[in-house]
Amino acid sequence: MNQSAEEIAQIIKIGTTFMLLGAGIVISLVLYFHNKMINIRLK
Amino acid sequence: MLEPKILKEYFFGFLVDRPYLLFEFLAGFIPIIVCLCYSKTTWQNSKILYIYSAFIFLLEIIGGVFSANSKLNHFIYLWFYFIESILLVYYYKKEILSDFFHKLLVMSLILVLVAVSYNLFFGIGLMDNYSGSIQSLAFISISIMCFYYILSKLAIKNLLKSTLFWVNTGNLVYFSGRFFICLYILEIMNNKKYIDLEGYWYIVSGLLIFHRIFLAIGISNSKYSNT
Repeated sequence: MNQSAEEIAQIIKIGTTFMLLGAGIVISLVLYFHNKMINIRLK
Repeated sequence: MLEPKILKEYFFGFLVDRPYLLFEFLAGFIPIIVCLCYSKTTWQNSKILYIYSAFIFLLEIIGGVFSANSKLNHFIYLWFYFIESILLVYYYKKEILSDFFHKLLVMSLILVLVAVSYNLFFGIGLMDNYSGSIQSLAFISISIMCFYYILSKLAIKNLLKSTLFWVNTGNLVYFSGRFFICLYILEIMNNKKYIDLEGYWYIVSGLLIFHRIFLAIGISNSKYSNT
């Protein structure tokens, strides 16, 4: 890999931020839809 | 080799000099304390999580002692990845009963074990970076599939009071944060002068602390099992 140190630092920062954001979105979606489906089932 | 005086002078001094390591070290104690004090289940119900917490506890102590004495502790972490993967896969296998999911578990376990064994036996001096990334990818896919099965089966009524949800959330956050750091760790180590190395250890420690807190919440919720 012929990337400079700054480029690597940038990739890690952006990559880690987006991965963590993605994980947060997945977890909140699971909680939201699970709650919704359980409520539908109880009705 | 490791005399008590050296331990006292370097080990605790090392932890106080680097506050992120001190917090990581303390976070390693949380799951085992929760296991011993706040979990009201029998040994059978969550023995894998008990063993996993004990391994985390041991890793913090042994890894800390090695790094305090300026010795390479990478191989300890590789052994930990090895055991961690086996324990987590066994835990998921017990929790979710699906043939497809079990096949995915076995495939990812083989992939992780091959990568980690390559690093352990052939690439230890090079500090190869692929085993961590492969493990991260495997466990990200396992946690997303696990969420899919939680949603499709609806077997758990209260998600926030279940052990599986918290353990899975901890895994997803930890492994998704660790993926890029493990992928470029060789470059980070080679460019110490240009890259803020401390910053990355702060990220790794933060992720470890999150993972252990989620694990501890999961273990303490095991008293509401089957709700």
